[in-house]
Amino acid sequence: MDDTPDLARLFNSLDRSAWLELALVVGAAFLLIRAEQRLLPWLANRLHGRARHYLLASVPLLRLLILLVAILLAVPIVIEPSLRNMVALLGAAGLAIGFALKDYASSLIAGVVAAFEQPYRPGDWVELDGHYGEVVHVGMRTVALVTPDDDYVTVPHLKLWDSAVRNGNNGSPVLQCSALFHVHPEHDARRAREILEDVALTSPYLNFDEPVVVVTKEEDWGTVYRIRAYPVDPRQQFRFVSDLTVRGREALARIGARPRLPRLPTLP
Amino acid sequence: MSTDTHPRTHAPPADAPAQPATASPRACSPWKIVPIADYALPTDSQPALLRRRWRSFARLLRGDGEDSTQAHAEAELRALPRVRLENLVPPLDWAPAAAALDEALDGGYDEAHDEAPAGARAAHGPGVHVLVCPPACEHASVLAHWAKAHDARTIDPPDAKRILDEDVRWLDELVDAADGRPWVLPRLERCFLRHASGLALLRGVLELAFSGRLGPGLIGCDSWAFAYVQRIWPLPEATLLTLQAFDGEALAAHFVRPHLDGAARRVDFRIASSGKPLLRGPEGEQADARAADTGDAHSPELRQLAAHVRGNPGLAWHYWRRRLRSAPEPRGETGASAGKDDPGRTRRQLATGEDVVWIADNVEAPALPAESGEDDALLFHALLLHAGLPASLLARLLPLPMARIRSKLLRLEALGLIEAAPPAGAQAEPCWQVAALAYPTVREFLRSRSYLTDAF
Repeated sequence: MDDTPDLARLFNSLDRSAWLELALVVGAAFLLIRAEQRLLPWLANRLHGRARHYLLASVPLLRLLILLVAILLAVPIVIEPSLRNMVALLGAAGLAIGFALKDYASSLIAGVVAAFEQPYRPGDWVELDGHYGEVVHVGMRTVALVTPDDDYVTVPHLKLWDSAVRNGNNGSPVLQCSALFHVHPEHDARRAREILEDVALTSPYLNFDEPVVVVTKEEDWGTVYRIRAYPVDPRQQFRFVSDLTVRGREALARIGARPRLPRLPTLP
Repeated sequence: MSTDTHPRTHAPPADAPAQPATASPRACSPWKIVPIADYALPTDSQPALLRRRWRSFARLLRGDGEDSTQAHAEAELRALPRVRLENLVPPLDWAPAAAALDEALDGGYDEAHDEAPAGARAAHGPGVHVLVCPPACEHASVLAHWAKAHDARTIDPPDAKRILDEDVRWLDELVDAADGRPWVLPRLERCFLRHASGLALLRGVLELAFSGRLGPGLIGCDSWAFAYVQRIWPLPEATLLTLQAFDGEALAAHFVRPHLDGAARRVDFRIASSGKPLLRGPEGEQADARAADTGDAHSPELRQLAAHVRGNPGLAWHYWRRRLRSAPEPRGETGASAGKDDPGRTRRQLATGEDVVWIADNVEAPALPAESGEDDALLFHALLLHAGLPASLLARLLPLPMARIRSKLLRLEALGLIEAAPPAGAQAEPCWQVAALAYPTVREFLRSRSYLTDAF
């Protein structure tokens, strides 16, 4: 029965000054994290373009940095940081986490991975676990999205391990949008492509630094045109697509290209 | 409407001081037309900026100021009366810019106009050049002067209906009207609309011009429209010219020195906050006066103004007019007897022949409200890309309802950010444009939001 005294010897005896030091480290880390989580998004939302994205993306990284520094400062206060002590402590913690808090710990670890690998950052437009929206917060355990319907969706980082993450802009302020047009086959396809390109070039939302492409695909019921272009700001994506759609339809009508809905597959 | 309209093109009044560009040799003229690649923005030098800030900080600490007895609080100063302002800052005369354009082209048009061998003409291309100028620098006026001097044919832009109807007969008319003389298309920005049907005539006219079917000619284009046109129909770089930016020295040569060198009535321009002369020599006030006369003086204020307006002389003209002030009437001098011939001058100034004009430190430029958002950005951008638009066309080009556009226009006008130019020609409604004093703010607003901006 020597285990109990050995485990107790792991910890330093905490006198009043040690407790105070510990409280200061934890308190400072807590305050710093709260401050950066509020201040940086507040500031970023007053900026536009690249500055906004880079500032938002720095929030989880900065928080991880603060946490690491806090742990590095706090651990030597609580235990004697020898190899033997660390192995004993981590073994005990691993057992507890493995049995009781597996998913929670998995999400926390995925959160650390997410901070480094950055499959999503605040400001990115992602599809995660079937939800599409703008990442507004990357926490320790979860990531929060705001969908186009203004719903706030929280997804645990755990999903990173076994599901795909579709990221529309991947940390940059450029996001491709596409507007679809279904057209009756009897029309001048060359003219239709030209005019759809002009529709994109004359949209007030267009980002001129990125290319405009009109893709055509022939189906058995008609022709599909897809304008691929980029708005000035990813947050304009739905207004941009609406603008392209409305003006694209007008333009196609002017050249006599009638719309045609895709034919549904017939049931056997 | 503001009393400060855009600088107009006309001959200076008889009593106005001679413009330095016409009075001095061409080499000394601040008006220079350069290839677009040689355009250089004026900068306010960093060490000078730091030194100036340190000096004002030190003065603040000391609690005194050199020449403080002569300095005037800006609130006490009065705006100059209109007549006096017109005398001191007459409307910009764009004829020297046209002369500089001629020099830049080196008489190529007269030669091209002569019976040059077809092979030689082909080797030099179709002889078409594009003059690109930022807002408030009136490229159309420059080209009008040039056209007059060269008996060139002026091509009027199509109206909005023809543009939107893609009426290509306009292009045929241009070809039919070609008579061998050089031609001038002064406002390319009026040849297109940012609409799916609004680009055909632009592409058509550029194709005609650069294929040589119209013969040698000149195209004028606003810098914002040019930024857009480059994405639609990239123009050959060798043909692009622009008005070189004015630095502080050029602004001094244009706005200040005509009132010093040999002027019938010498004007003493002084900084309101410090009481110092505007143009300063290396030492002392006497040295300042001598240096100002000999052209050796410098002015940090004018250099700063040049940097603020990005070297745009048209904008500088607006700012300069707003900064000029006269001293308040000393007690006992008010009355009908003071300054009968010149309402801005006090009796004491008239008696001594002394004429002091104070330069206010800052011009209160219109500010954007904090809630300015995407709709404002779209509106400003459309106005700048087309160098002004009527409300009905804005409604066709923007994805905003007419009622919202009208309410926004009136609100922005009330804030001084845009202004309505009176209807011209067959136009039935006013043309809205970004106000000159608001232009730097609006440009920065659009740039910070990653909208397509000009390079000037």
